[in-house]
Amino acid sequence: MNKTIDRSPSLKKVPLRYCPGCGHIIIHRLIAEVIDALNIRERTIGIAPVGCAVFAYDYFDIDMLEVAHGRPPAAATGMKRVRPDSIVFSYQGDGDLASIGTAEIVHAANRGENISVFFVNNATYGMTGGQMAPTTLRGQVTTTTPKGRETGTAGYPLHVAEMLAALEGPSLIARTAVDSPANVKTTRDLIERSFRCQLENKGFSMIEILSACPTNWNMTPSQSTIWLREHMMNEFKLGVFRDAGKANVTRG
Amino acid sequence: MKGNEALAEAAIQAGCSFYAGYPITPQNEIPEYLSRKLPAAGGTFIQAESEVAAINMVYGASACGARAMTSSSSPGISLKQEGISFLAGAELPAVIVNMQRGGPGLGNISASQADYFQAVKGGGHGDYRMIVYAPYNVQELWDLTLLAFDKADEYRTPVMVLGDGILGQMMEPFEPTPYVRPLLPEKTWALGGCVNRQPNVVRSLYMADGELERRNGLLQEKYRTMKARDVLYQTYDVGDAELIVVSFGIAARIAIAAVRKLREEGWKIGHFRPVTLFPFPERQLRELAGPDRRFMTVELNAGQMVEDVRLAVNGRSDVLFYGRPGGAIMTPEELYERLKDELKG
Amino acid sequence: MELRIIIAGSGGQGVLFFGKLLAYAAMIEGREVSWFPSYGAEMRGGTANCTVIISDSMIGSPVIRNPDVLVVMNDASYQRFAEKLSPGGILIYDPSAVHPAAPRDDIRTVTTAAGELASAMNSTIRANMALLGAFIAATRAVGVHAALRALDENTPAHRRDLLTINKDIMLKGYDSVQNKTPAAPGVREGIALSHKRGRPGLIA
Repeated sequence: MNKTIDRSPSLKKVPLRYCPGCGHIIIHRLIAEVIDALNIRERTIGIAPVGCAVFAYDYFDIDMLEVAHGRPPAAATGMKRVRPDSIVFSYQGDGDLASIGTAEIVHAANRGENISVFFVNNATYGMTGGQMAPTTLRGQVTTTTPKGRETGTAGYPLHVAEMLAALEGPSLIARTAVDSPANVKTTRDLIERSFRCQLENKGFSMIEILSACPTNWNMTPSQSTIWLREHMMNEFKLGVFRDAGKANVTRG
Repeated sequence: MKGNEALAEAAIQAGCSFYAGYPITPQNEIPEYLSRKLPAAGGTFIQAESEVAAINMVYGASACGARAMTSSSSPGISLKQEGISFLAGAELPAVIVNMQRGGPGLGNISASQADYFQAVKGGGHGDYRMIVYAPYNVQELWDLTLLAFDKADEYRTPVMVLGDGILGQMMEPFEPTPYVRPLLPEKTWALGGCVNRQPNVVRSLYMADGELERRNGLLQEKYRTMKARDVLYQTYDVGDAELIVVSFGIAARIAIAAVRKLREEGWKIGHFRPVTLFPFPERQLRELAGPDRRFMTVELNAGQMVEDVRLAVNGRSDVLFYGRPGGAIMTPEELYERLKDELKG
Repeated sequence: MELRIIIAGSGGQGVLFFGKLLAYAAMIEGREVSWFPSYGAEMRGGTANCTVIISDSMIGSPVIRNPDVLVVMNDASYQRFAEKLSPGGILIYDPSAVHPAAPRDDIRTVTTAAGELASAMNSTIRANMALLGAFIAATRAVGVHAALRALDENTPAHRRDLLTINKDIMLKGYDSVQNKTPAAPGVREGIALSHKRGRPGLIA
């Protein structure tokens, strides 16, 4: 029997130690597939964040840099500026990008740095055990919002894609999800568009990807998919928020 | 050319191709100069959104093999400590300049040496050190900046140039000695795409059993090598001195002026100036120590390096201290009187 | 031999440039020299000052408390620094800009109508050049020729048209001093001996 699906070469043939139902596995795979489809494996440098995906450097079979919590857009800036021919992407979670690293992401986007950012939003802190994230929904119970997130004291879910879309720097800002085959396909297309932006020197792009965390949501994988659709997608609308189609932003 | 500008030009001469920084007095001439000159030299200048971002930009640039530098002054250096710890942990070369000002907190913008502990004992989290150069004139701002880039690459480590507000702001004649690049190991570890090789990973996270301890062992080995090979210091009339003044940086200039005057008057007094604060000239100080001799450290702080001098002489000599904290500057006259009192007994 | 000088005035009067030219001239003559400005928040208060030290041997602290020579360009600066001038020191100012309340009798005072000299050349803002000329005549800290060369080398391309007028004002300031300090023996007026350049180096 012929094998019809295999792992893309940019993903190492090692077990991915994520929980059942976790979106990271799909997203890793999509990024690796796009890297190989575009034939850019030998020019790509990825950034592993602080969070569950910190071990991304064990999974991607490409040059990888591990960066301090929240700082990947700054490090990516340094990388891309000294190696403009490299393809640089950062892979960040909601704690990393939307909380401790808000300054870095806003300013990298505002400078229009020619990098790709993949922002995985699962509305919670996965690695540290399910605390409130900036993207935690109103009323959502976490280990640090035992009565559910109260907006009066803990603020509101942060809409990163909409925030960044308001800036003039970015080229492409979109939100997608990995809950269904159709959305997985859309996500793959957006990841490819993001890399193409960079290849064509169009500048900064960020793809926000809604992803499930069954373990910290205390759900089964199938329940978490439904919760993502019914609750997260209600708060965080999918779509392309900015498509400036800017051409040839050259960087010194 | 101000001290800050001399340092910035030295960085360009040393092949620094990436700089990121955030404005803070009294070091603004460094980013201002580099914003004009570095792009023309083919490098990249970025005014970062914060000190934290600046040091992480340097982290990224260095991981890709570039000679990278950031500069700031005391409060900004505190913000960079996270990044410096990561640089040390990931074994990435970088040059970090601290033109110290008075503290704690926002303090003032006067010259100070109150960041000694922070610079030489690690500063950020974890068991790490970095080479710390303490220039005392514009010539050394130049020379030691050139050296800092080489040592950073040689050891794959962050290196600090620890100046102060006076050194950075002042002008004086100096010789811009040409940079001669030594033989250095190739950066085979750098990121840039895995063409014809296995992918490189640069990281400071070591979770496997025993992995981090082994890693720390390698770092400590590196620090021992620095202690054996990279100590720089300068002595002045220590041979028959009954009192040896120990000071670094701008305090050394003030102290040497006072010591010289006392020497001319016939007093048996000398001066010892650590040029590297890490590695500290422990052995050299220990060899000078003895029961017939006293030391006095002079610092623009409330007494920091004096602890290292005491550790070095290990009880063989009395070690006194004279200092001015909070951005106050002592004059040679003031120090002269103080030292004379001590010599009179 | 070490001479410590403080030049003080308000922002925009060319205090730092005065000091820079002086330092540069001393450097041309092969002396040890340091220039240290007031900086940062201090500058925002509208006052500016700088310290220049010229010496034959290594300079200790570039920051000092008591200058040997004080040049002041406004009353506020006089009030701040006059009492710090060393006994026997030299005070230099333009009487139309500075009005000492209780003159000290333990110092030497040199005045020049710097503002008037400059405005005669249609350039009131260049009183600093006249004061620099007067300073040289009163102190002989550097030679006139070195100062003129320093001015030449520190005038950017887009200001070259002002070079001649600046030089003229400086020379008029120099001439305006009645009680000039004689030039050192063996030195043609205005041209100092060239000193051998010596400076501290890196010792490993």
